[in-house]
Amino acid sequence: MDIASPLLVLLFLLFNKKEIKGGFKWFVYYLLSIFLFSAITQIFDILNKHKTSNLLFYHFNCIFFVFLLSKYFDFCIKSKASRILDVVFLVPFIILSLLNFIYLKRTFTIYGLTSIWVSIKCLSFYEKKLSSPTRENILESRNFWIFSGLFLYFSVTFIIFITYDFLTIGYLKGNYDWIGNLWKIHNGILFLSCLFYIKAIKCKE
Amino acid sequence: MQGISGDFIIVLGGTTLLLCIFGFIFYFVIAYNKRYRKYEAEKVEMRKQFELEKLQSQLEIQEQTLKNISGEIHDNIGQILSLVGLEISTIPTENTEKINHTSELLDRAIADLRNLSKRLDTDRISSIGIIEAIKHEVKLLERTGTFATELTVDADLEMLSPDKTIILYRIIQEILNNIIKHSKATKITIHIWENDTEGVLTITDNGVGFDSAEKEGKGLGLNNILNRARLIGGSATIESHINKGTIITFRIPKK
Repeated sequence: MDIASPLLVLLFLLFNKKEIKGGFKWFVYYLLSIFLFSAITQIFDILNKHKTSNLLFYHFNCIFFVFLLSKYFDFCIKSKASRILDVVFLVPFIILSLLNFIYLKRTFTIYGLTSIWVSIKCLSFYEKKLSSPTRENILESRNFWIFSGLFLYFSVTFIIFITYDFLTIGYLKGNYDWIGNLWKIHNGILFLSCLFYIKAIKCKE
Repeated sequence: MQGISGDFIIVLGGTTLLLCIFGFIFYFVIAYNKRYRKYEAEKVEMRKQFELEKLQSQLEIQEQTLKNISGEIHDNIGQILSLVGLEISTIPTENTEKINHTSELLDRAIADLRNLSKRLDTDRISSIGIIEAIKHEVKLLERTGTFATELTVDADLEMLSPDKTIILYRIIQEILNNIIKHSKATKITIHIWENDTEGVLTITDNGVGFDSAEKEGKGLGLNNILNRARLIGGSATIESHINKGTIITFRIPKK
């Protein structure tokens, strides 16, 4: 499901022949990277048979997500507060990424941090929309559907990311049913958010 | 925390969180759309206001131009034609019949020009009032011999300021011109009356009419009439059916 959902959105985009430019371009790159990351991880795990840790790969990917999304957000939320938030987020993000990679070895800690950042960015998008003059039908706004999809995915999966290491190392160590259920929820949320993205593609820019 | 109860907690927690997120997005859409509707309503109102101001400016320019033309006809062309009439009367000739005929034609031209000058003169219309101005228009219509006219005056429309008088008069002129040009009518009725709150003016013809429901919002001339009525703080309704004539009603509030 985590491969199929972004693939579905990308295929929809391909068949609809929508012009990819501006901030939307960075969002499409983000979708593409989700798909490629999921596909490569699956192939890696199958070939490697879980012998080698894929921590480095996950880290690299998370940093890449943050880069792509920050480029997209930069197009949509042009405010001083938003830029300050980026700096406030990026400093601990980089430190934590390094610490995590060298010492902690927790796969999803930086994903949790990224989720908080994206969720706050989405909330600031909503706040900006409500505080500035309303000149468009929000249900026909591409950015609204993208931000709603991102907000849905990151605010819900934040809980999963933050608790995943704790649960897998502590409570649920070795209980693969639980881990499987957590990822089913993750994939379900990803699928729902992809439906939002499809709606976004249907909208005019 | 394992087994069925653990799964249940995950499903329940996940569903609750999901519902909260959907609830938030839904709330945002409702709040945004409320503002958006308000903005759209303001935009429509601003556009209407702009159209009215534009129309007012156009009318002011038009009135100034008409006033200039009226003055020019009265003071210049009218005077010259009067002098020509005097000159003709002093020409010694044996063909008096031809001279008399020419004088007659000249007198008619002078009379027509004077009428035209009066119809265009903004100050004169303001000073004599809307009722007298309408009576003058009706008289001119009668003179054409093409239309039977009926004017019933049961109110003086004194609530109209000089500016509004001019605007209403120009609307009536436009309507009468439209009747002459397009309606193929044989009878025109004008009724002016009032009730406690408003003065009402109705212009009725028995011409070919048109489908007023179909033309609503499309015809530039009709829109012009409606906008001008709004400009003087009143309203206008146009009721017409094919082959059943047209009724145009203006309502002007007393306060």
